[in-house]
Amino acid sequence: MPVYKIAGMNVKMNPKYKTLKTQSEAYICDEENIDFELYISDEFLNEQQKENPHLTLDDCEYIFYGSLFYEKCLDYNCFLLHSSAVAKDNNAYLFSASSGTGKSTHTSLWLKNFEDAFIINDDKPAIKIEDDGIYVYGTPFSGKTDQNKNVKVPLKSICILERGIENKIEKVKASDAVLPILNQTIRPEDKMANLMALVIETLKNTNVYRLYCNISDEAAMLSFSTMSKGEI
Amino acid sequence: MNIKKGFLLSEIDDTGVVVATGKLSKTFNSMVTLNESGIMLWKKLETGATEGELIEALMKEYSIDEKTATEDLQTFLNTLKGADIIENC
Repeated sequence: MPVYKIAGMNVKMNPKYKTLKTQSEAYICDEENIDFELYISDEFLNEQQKENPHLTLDDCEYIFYGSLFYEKCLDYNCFLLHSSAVAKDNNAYLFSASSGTGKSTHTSLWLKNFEDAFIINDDKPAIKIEDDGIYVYGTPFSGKTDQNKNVKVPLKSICILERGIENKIEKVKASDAVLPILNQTIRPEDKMANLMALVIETLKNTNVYRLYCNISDEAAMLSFSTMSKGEI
Repeated sequence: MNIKKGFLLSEIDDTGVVVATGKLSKTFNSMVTLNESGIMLWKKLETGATEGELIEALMKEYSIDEKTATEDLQTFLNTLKGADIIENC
């Protein structure tokens, strides 16, 4: 069974279908010691597919392996933030919001305006607290798009994205950022204590902003110029 | 009077945030925030403090009279009752 290095963890899994196989190819490693194994039975996937007829078995494998991965990684100082993660100048910027708000639209404006910017993960990046800092990792699980990169970039700033007629950005107090973050991650009932510790530690060390934005180059200029300054 | 089992208090910039863990999180999927005095009362409640002890703690900590402390405590407890966080009161 192949071993993958995802967000610095050695993960054993055996994907059968195309999406997960293709998406995780870049993460294959030759490590022998594994941190954990991801396994979901065919039976479970078949059941899920029947309950969600709009999904294929391929979709189900990809989605449920993603959920299982993000549940497991809570034991390894790592959690999911549903967001589009973009890197520039070796800094990671995360734009988080509910589906349909325009996360990817906003980060695509970064790509358009900043030549050196790239997407770490367009939908489900991992935030990991390590001894020397907090990092954002690309993972094979990137939602509907295949935009993910097997990289590790220091977390610079998190932005809660909202649609606006005009572009406006404001600083969010750490305590006010807890709920928006919790609403954009998975909350396994038996790992809430781990999750809370990780979220609190991240928020203590990271600037959080709220951006009201339209779809314009100015929106990207505003978010970058504010978030890159790094004032606490 | 006690806090239901499964609530977890974390603190960040002088604010307490309370979430539910375990089975409780199925029915309580929101978050409660506490100010400084709320955090103190919560911690004492967790260790089984009585109303009398809580009033005394408020009087001592914030140099307020018994009447004010009693009223403040009732407001706090009513909020927790309303959110279905405490039982046996």
